[in-house]
Amino acid sequence: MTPSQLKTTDFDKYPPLAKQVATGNLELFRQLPLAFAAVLLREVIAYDWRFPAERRQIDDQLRLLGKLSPAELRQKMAGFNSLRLDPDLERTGWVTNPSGFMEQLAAWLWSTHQMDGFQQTADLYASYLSEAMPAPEPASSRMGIVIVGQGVDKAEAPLFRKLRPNGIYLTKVKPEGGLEVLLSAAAKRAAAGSEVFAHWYIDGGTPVPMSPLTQISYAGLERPRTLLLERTKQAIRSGSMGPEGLRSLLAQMKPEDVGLQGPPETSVLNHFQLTLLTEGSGTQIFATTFAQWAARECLRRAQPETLIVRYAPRQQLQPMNEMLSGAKAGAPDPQGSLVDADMGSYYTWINMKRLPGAEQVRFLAWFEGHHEAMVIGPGLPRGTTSDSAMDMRQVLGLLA
Amino acid sequence: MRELAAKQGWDRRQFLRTAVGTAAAGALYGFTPLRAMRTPREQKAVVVTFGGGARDEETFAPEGQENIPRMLGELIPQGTFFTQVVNHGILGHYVATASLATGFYETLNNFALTPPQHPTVFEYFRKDLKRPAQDTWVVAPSNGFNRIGCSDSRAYGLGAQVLLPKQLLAAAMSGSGGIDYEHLLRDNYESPAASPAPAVHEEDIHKTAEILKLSLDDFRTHAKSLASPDELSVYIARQLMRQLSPSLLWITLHDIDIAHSGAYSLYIDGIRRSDRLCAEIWQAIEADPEYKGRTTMFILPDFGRDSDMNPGGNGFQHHRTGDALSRTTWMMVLGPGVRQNAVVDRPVDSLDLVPTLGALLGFSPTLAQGQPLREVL
Repeated sequence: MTPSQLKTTDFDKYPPLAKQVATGNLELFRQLPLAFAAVLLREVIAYDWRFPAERRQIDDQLRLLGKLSPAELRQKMAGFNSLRLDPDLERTGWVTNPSGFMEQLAAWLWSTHQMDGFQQTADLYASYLSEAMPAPEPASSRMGIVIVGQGVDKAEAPLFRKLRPNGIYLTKVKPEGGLEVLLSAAAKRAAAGSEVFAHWYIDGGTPVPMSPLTQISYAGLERPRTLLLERTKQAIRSGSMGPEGLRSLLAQMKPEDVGLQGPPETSVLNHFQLTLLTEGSGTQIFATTFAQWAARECLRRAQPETLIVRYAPRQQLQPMNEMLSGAKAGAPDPQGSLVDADMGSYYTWINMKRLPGAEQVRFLAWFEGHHEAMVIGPGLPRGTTSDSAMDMRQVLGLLA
Repeated sequence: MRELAAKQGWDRRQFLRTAVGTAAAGALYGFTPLRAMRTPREQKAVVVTFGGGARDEETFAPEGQENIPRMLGELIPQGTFFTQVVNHGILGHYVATASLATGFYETLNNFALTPPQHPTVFEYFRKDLKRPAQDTWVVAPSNGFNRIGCSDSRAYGLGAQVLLPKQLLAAAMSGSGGIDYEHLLRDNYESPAASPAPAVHEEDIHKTAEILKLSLDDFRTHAKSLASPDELSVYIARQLMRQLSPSLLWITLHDIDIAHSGAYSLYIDGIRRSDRLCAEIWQAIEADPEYKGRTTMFILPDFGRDSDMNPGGNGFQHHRTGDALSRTTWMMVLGPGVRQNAVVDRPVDSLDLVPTLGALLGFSPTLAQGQPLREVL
């Protein structure tokens, strides 16, 4: 089937809001090239579980494209139209399973050496979108806080090396009460705001209860992680499923399949948590990877105004000789985790800078329980070091 | 992308100049001793690829140099360094390594147990030079590499024997309780599921042990002293060198690819281990009379990893964006007649490896698409 043959009944299996969006834009979808239509439907099909910022982007994009004349639309879609596609792709269930279609499309583009061209076309289209429908600035300046090094007495390597050129490296922070001050500050921002999913707390270990922040944690997802790994192992052991099949299996899972149940208002968050585990590589086994990837996806999708990420030690990767000697696995690796978290703090800062309002971003990274921290923000000098003693409230004051 | 790749190559060159004072091969290679004066039959080649490329930030850039002390201090001063090796193919480890081995951008399924679609360097080598099976070997980490030694080309078909050390280890250790074999054998970090393990029969183990002149007890004992699968691969490769002295030996290291798990410290550990293992392989070559003075070693990642700045990726973790950093990498060549302490800035292609091996060893890779690298011939 080609997009021009689409009918309203083709969307019967979509969730209610997604169906409404798709059928309401049927005429537009009929005019789109196959590859682009599937890309867009992949976003639309999960509309019911999207964050407000994502829904706004989908709505704005459909509105923008819907206003174009047929000639203008053809011009914007020229790059996607010029792709040489495998005719078999039209016969896949690209409407009901656009993610599956995208996997096959990606494989086809790689194997026919069209991936670079596809990415250039996608970049061009993204530039058009960002010019034609600039994303709204956040209601308040974004604040990112990353806490690293839980369980480490002394860092074996210098910290925050990648962040240092961008702000002030603090060497005499008084650590007492630091965690509580930071969490309270984040909670205060959340209490002052009204939009849902705008203020987050992600913990790589066991979280400190902190209302009214949207909260997810590695420890809180222990059961879903265990169930997911069991399902994965079963699929691998069965021998009937290769990597692609396994990926499809994961993509089709529902939150309740891994014990993520709850009232309707938890549906968006449960779906988000499920995708962290099914789409993230390493998030099921390493707490540091979970925290980094969750922060990345939270920023990319929810575009929060406040994000606080606290890393905890991940399990050690067991050396082969220990494995062969039958030693028990699962011991923590605090030093390695600190290195992971240090890099993760840099990635969180980069990802915050990709969002609207980047110039006003306030960012703080702190070596938990210790004297070292980084502050980056508008008006703060770059590439400097401060040896002034200050408590965490004073550190936050630098970012006011 | 070409500009970015060139810039990256330039950055590597600048760093190398400041770090080890290398000379520009572009101006000097014309004075290289004539390779043609040597008899091809005397030549041997060892190719070491990193499955799971490493980025400049963690290797040749100033902040990464602490991770590769052996390459910088011992290997680069003895060899020629190509700053821009561009991979235009599919960025999956098996398909990319197969492309390196055929000199043709393969399009096979990265996660399937299938042979390359075009003749491999091992087939050209054996057919043209009439070499026996035991003169070329592949030591590879992953189940998926089981078929890399030989294509399904009807015109060729006699390729390299492939050793999968972890499979051998698992088979040799069978019966030992309390060992997580699933974890041990998991080596394809690109996918949540590993390729199905090829069957290893007891007679195969004994045959391999016999070839390597290695008792199963020794193998088991030694394996228990090694920290990683790559260390096991190098141990097996050294046994092969000692016992069979193959003329064409291909070793694929894979520890670095733990980066897919998202743990930066483990990725760095993999780089440091690969740095040490490369130096140890070169030491083994130099210490072995069968190899010393007539062996050229090529070291290259199969490709790079994603840039921190590409919003489509997640930095070091994957190689999915196809950006310049993920496509551009480097190559080091050491050996007799290869100019020492030299840097080559011009962009070269990953596919150039096979034609270069052909020119070096004296076979004709007729279907390979790259060009011989004149700077090391």
